[in-house]
Amino acid sequence: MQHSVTIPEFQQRTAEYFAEKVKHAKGTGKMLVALEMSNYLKEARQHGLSFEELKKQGFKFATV
Amino acid sequence: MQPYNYITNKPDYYTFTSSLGCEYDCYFFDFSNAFYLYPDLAPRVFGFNLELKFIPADIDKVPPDKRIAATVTNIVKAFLHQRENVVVYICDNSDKREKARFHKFYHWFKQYNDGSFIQLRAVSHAGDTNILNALLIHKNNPQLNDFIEAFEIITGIFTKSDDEELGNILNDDGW
Repeated sequence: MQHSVTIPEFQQRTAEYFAEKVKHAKGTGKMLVALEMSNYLKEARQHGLSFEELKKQGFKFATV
Repeated sequence: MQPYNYITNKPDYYTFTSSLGCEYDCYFFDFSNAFYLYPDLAPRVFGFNLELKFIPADIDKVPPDKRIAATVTNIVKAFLHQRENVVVYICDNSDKREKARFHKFYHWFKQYNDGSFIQLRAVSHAGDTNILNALLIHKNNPQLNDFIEAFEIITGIFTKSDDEELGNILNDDGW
């Protein structure tokens, strides 16, 4: 007997998507977009996206 | 408490491995979007994420490890100290464990703060979502007051005190 497993789709986003979205957010809605972006990065990494791939989507990272 | 040695994978992220073999990545990402109304500040605002990337097969649940706190706070403090940047930590709510993260991160920085850093916590209300977040900034940051004022406005704590709510969250044993 086979069991089907539903894997939720991962919608890829760009940094520009969040930049535009935050400009249309009012008040604390900006923090909601920020939360969404933070969660997106984690999810993207869980789906195997590398930092190089995320940078191609426009995201920037920093170290010292 | 001895922190773990960490590797800086310039210019993107940091990684370290615990004594149990758990592997962690942490990274600072451009967070200027949320501060776009403050162009003088925005380029120096970074978000921070910590990710558990690998758990050895023989470990069912990762036990508390104080060396992780020492390691992560070392990385963040070095970032704040050398770059005069600020870090905004937003607690991931995708698994409903944001309160636990908020509590843990707050106490990590309280415990390992040598007095050089200011941690400003906030609960932002956006629709039906409570966003638990914190600003971390060096006390000698030349734009300290500007950053704090901008953070208070963006998070909504400028117009409404959340002290009572913060107290309730930090005293909530439910998580």
